[in-house]
Amino acid sequence: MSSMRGLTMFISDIRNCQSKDLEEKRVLKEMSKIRELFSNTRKTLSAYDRKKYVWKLLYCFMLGYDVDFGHMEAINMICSPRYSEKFTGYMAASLLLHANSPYLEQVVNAIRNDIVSYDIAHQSLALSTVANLGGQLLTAELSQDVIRIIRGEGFGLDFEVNKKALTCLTRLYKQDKTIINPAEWGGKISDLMDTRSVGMLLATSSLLLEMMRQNGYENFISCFTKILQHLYRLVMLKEVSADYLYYQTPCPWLQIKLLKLLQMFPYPTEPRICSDINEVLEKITSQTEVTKNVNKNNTDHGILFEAINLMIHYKDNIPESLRTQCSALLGRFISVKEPNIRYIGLETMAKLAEHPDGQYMIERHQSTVMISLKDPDISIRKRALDVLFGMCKQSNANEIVGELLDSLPEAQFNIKEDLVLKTALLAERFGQNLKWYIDVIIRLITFAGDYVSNDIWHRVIQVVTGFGSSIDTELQEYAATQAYNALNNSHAHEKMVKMGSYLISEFSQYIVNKPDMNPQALFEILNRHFPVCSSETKCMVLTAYMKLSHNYPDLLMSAIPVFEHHTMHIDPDLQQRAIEYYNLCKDTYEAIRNEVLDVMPTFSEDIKNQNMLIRRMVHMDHHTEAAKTEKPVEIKPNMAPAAQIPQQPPKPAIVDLLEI
Amino acid sequence: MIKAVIIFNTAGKHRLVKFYEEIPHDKKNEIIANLFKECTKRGEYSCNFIEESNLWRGCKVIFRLYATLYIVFVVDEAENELGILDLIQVFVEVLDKAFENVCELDLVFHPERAYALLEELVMGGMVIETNISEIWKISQNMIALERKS
Repeated sequence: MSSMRGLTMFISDIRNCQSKDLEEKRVLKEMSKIRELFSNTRKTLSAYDRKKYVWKLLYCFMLGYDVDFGHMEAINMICSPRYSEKFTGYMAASLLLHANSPYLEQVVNAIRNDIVSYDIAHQSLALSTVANLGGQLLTAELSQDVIRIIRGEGFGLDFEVNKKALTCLTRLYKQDKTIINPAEWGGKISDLMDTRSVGMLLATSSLLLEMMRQNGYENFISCFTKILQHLYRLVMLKEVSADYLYYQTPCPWLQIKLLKLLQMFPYPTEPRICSDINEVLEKITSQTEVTKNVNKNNTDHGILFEAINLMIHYKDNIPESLRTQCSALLGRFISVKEPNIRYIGLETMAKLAEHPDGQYMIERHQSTVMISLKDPDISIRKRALDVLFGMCKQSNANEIVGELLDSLPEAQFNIKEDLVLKTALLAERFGQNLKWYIDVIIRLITFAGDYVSNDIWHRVIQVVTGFGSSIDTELQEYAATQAYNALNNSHAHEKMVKMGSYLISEFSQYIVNKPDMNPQALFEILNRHFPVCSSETKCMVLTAYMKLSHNYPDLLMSAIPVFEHHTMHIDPDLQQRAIEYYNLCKDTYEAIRNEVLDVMPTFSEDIKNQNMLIRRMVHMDHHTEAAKTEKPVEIKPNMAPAAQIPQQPPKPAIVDLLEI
Repeated sequence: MIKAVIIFNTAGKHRLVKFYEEIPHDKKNEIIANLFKECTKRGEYSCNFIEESNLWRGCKVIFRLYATLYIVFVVDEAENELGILDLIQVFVEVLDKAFENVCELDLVFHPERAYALLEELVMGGMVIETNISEIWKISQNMIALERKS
């Protein structure tokens, strides 16, 4: 684009602005000037001026200022027959407008005229903009015209235009899956793959990939051998024009695309084809070396990792030797210095770990992965955590969970929540016994209490209380003892107080007769932390006091003053709880008291299998933002009502009867 | 799919902003500000990938730093990460060829050319051409057309 003096001046003005405020002032001044010029109907702007002002607007827009006027003036330039103005119009359309903009309706005919025109440059502009915008309107109006170009009806033998038309169609297809029919296009795409033009192949592959994602591979079987042929040609014979050699590698993007396409098909049955595939995979895995040149490294490893993905897809169909090589390569990658390759290596390993038959390929690299868990780079650490999580099983759970716990104190805040959640899950799922699980959770709360979500300790309560008819009194005793010990410090995390208050009060009968312990000691240990707790926790501790003093009436002397003190508390929940318990202590309510403070029943068997932590993890992966503010997962209605962890006042129906 | 291509300098000034997905204006600025924050946080020996789900759900950020410019691609999980790193390199080589030793000022004063070149490389979020001389040829044709009109 030949330079526009006015634009250059404006840009240097902005560059010379000393502060953000001055820049904003300058931009707003210019925008109001342009607004005035555009709305002045008496004097028409010259084409050059219009172009200049539109670029000024686009420049402001790029800097992050909202441009809410001039859209019509800008995109009307699409209708101009002159290339530079048309270009400006299309640029403005794809930058300023969104797919549902009402202005598009006004120019959709002009865009169509360009698409069906005989001018390659105009066709290219129009197709690019349609692809960039997408959207319903353009799909409905223009998809048939785009398809006509690809079918070769009318003028359309130019590769340049064809390639853009294919890409444009891919985008429109993403918008509306009905515009092309897979049964009919299977053959068409197969014909298109006969070309040797790399650009055309790339565009065709994108469309094919998108269609196979939607429809499966059945309609596209005829493409399979062609994909393989092209790949064979690139990898084995390096047959490609010198322009497409990128750091001596023949068109890496196409190789990657073709390898991705092969992953959509199952392993072939014909031996000759299988041997071709194996040969290609062999070649890719054996020729890739870590070199000094960063770009060469990226290129070759990009292909290699895609090949490994294909091998993962083929599972044990490929020869054992290839799989061993693949495992060895991964081991090497995760120990190299180059961080990008290490990152991708770990990512690939995490994928392997998800496959039951891929596990054996990564097992021996466990210690190497653990080193990456302490890498200063957060992206790499996250990947390492994923791998360890995936490869954990009964035999190595002790070691892996131990390692995760060790890394916890040094971990950065943005990985801690994930780390804590995964550790808790692994400890429950693969622990040798549940006592160990309790220990792990207590350590988690001690090291990173702020990152332990309520779900995690709720789960502990569920496990300790038991499911169905199975009650493990030994575990209950152990959990209560450990909770007591954890609270027997001058400082304990609030989550520990929450969990401890439940465990100690619910299972007090198992520990109260131990040496050095008595009901008063249990009360004291909770009361030590009570003053510094939040109201929410205080509510739970009050419930614990109530339960304890119900079992050991001597404690009433200590508990009643606490209840009484809080009957005037400013927090309504805490106040209500205190008033309820204060009254519940009276003799008149003995019958109700016995019922309210009865031992909690066990949880239903369903709960055992519906671990809320798993749901939470899935949830976190998708909605990390939402998960942070979200309340704990609601307790299912099929759970016995009295089995609720005492967050809400127990049995609300009865509470109301107290007429308070 | 490529969701966005963004260039900003080490001071956070936008040099090229192109989104391939519909996003409200305010959100765009917020995304770019967060991208800048995350990119500048990365150490010299860190990898070029950022996964911060708060940044853009389900997407990965792939960036490279060239002198004073960060070139940032936001992509979904269907893209090959190392392939995108290559693509960034190709884009820079294309810019370099078009501007003869490209520097930040070239992008500052010729945004229209930078956008036009990007258009030949990525279209609707998909890679269309990776051959540097081919892109160069097309852009030369465009300049010729421009002069004629």
